[in-house]
Amino acid sequence: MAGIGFYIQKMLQKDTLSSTVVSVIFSAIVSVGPWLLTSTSLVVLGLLFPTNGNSNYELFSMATIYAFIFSTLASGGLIMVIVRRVADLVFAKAYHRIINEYTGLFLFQGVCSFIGSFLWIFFFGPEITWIRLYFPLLFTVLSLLWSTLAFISVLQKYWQIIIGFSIGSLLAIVSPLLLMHFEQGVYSFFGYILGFGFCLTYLIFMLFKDIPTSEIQIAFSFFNAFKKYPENFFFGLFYYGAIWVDDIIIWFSRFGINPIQGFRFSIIYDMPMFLAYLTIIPSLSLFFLVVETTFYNKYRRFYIHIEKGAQLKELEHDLTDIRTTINHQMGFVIKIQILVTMLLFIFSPSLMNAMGLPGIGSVIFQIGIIGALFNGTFLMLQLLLLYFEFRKEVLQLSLMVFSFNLIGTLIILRYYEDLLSLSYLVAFLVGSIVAKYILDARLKHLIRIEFNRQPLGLQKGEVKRSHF
Amino acid sequence: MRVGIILEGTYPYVTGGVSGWAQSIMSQMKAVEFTIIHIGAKPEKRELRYQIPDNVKEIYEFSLQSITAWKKKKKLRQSQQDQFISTLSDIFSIDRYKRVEKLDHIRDILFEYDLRPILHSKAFWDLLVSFYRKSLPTRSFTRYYWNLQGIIQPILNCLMANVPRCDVYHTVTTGYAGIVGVSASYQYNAPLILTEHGIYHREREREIVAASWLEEVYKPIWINLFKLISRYVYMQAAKVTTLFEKNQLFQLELGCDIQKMKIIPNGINVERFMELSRQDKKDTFVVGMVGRVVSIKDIKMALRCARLVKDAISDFKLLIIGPTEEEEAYFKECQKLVEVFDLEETVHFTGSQNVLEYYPKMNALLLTSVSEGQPLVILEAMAAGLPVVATDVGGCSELIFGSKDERIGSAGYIVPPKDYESAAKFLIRLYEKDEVRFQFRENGEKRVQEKYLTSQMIERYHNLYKEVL
Repeated sequence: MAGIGFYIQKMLQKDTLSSTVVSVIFSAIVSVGPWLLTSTSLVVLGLLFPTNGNSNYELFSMATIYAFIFSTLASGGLIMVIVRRVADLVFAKAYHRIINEYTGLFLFQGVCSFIGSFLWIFFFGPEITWIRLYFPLLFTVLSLLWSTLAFISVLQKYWQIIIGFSIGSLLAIVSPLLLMHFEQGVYSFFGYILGFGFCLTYLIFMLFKDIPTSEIQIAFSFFNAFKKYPENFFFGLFYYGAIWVDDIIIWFSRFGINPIQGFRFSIIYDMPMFLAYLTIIPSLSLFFLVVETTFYNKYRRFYIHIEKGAQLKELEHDLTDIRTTINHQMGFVIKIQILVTMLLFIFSPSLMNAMGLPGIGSVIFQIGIIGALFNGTFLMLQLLLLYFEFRKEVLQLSLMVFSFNLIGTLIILRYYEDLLSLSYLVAFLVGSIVAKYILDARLKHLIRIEFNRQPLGLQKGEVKRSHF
Repeated sequence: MRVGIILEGTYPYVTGGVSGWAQSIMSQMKAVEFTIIHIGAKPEKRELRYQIPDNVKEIYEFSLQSITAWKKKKKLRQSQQDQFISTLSDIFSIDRYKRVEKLDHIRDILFEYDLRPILHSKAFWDLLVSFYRKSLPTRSFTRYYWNLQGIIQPILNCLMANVPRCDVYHTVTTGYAGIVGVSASYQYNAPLILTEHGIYHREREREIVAASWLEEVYKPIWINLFKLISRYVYMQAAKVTTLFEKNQLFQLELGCDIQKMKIIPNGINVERFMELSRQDKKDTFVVGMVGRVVSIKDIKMALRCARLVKDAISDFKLLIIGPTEEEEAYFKECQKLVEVFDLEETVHFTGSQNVLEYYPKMNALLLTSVSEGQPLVILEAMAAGLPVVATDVGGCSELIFGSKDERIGSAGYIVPPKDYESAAKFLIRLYEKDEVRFQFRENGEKRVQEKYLTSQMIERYHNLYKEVL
């Protein structure tokens, strides 16, 4: 009898759900981690190192800051893609490919980072031999560290990361100090690289230890992930860009100094801002805690209900629950952050005085901590958007905040010099408002959006025409 | 003249009644050029099962269950989107007999515009949700959604298909092929002819009712969908033909206009059969079945019948002529039944054979199918001078008893499906009464020659093409 009959599409498992969750959590770690390390280690080293009159220390400190900032900027996009890629591989249980791709990436990134940073310091930096070695080495170690962190974090080795980074940072701070005792020369600064080098080696060891691999091959297939998740690359790039763009512009303004060829800096701006970044640590930690517990359970229930085929009523109930939880928990975290910010705001003049940055430094810090409040809020909202796979929106938001900070800083430098960090504040404030608006709008229609974007599970068809 | 012949899941990749019909129409209507529009189920590579005739100029094919990158069609304006949604919403709430007219109000939207953006719109979603709330609020929403996708995607592919321009479109079923036909006919302002061998929506209904994997609540939705499509195709077609009278009742039932209905029976090349020798002797009473050994042919009924006949006629043989590989499990069950009934000496499965060699040896033809269109095998048997005992399915009774306006007598007996006792009784009667057998032979030969010639069939379709232009 003629006719094909009828056909029903079977629901595909949303098997990317778990990998999405893991990748989001670790996007957070790798986005917060590096600048946290930058700020802390610099502040601590600044406090401990005998800096007075030591021009080599100044050089070391600037090269270190540059290595930190530019390694995060250069690898930020790459890392966001890797995190997603490795999460997919983990859930496909393709562990051998993780190792092979890590090896490929290590070689690729290692070579590119070293050559790139060496060329930069050679052509634009000072003609000082040790710094021509120090900068590319640290830059390469840090770049590799960020991507290794991305790999290992997706494999959920929390403790190894904490141990590695704790010992590494400690060594980075202690070893130059110790080396100073034996050798007064500049090579004691290489102790700093030793610390992070240790951390990198430790994490690589941990990565290879638990993954069974009979034969390691070099694979460059991670490049495919750029095609699949291009938004992640640009999200990483613009998010880090948004954090640093005001600093970089200010280095080139009259607030910047250029003590040594190639390195620009702005003591009056950078120090208060680095400190301000640190103020969101408590609330971000709290956020991860609530996301991992309360929010995640509700989020998971929603998707499990979709998979298992619940009634629409149940899905709507789950969604309301998710939205209420987000509002409650974010509200709670933000309130805590406001409290922290208010306290620091009040004490900021004395704090800045103690650091030798009175007056304008105090204003920059005060605006900076309010900006950091919104930076934290923005990051939380971005992560929530990523949980629901709104990657395009996340990218647009990062680009927006980056542009606001860039243009804002230029405007402020021209018209409102006494409110230097205001552009950072405004950019993240606007970013947070828009991000919240988008999140609300998307979540309101999440059931429709989720169903509409489910793959149909149909093969690709084509029209075939044969002429005779 | 270029005719676009639209086939769903059959010619040129699958053999069978409809495919044989299509091959015979195209190869023998030399004056007409054809474009074959083939609608497959899934994208897959398949072998051609027929030699494509010279007057076929193009084969255009796509598959229903696929994501196909269709060429963009016109973009809908907001007002049209609203109209589309509100019409769909009305369709679900009005009497099912009026739905088809509602559907016709948005035919420009259906056939000219790109519907894909609508399917992701909030308005469409709200419509789905309101229908769910009204009809299935306690069922799994996920399953409901995928059921709808299962309905929407193939239809969407049919609406998006940009089939080649032809002067006339000729669809062989309603259903998806019907949608393609109506759409092409609208876009190119070319008439559409529908020829139904079996009644599509009834065949689908049978399948759906029997489908154990489909939840009961979704069955009426699917059944009504196929009825709606059939109704719409009947409405849009310029001519609706079928092979025999009984089918017309089902077409009328769904509101097909009697004015455009026509019967064009299948035809055969009678000379090949007329020149065969006739078996007058009955020393061994040989009854033949011609067809695939598959469950739809109900071979088991034939075996039960053979047991009863064998009890009455000691020298009786049943030949089952046709391929046995298609449903091997069923074939094995039949062989087992032969053993159980102790019919090893009586029943012979010959496999595929040239029937022309077998008809001269046979005294009668038996057909026990549970579903048929207009079986060519009855026509061939009649042309070969054989009386027929057949089940009352499809067009069998019309072939054997003749249509209402006909004066030629019966060419055999009709029994209800599954009724092997009656079938045996009639076979025994044929054995016992030579004069009945010879009379049936005469009537059968006459009827075939008068009404069921290939040349007549070709001429009728050719005239139909000219008539609609």
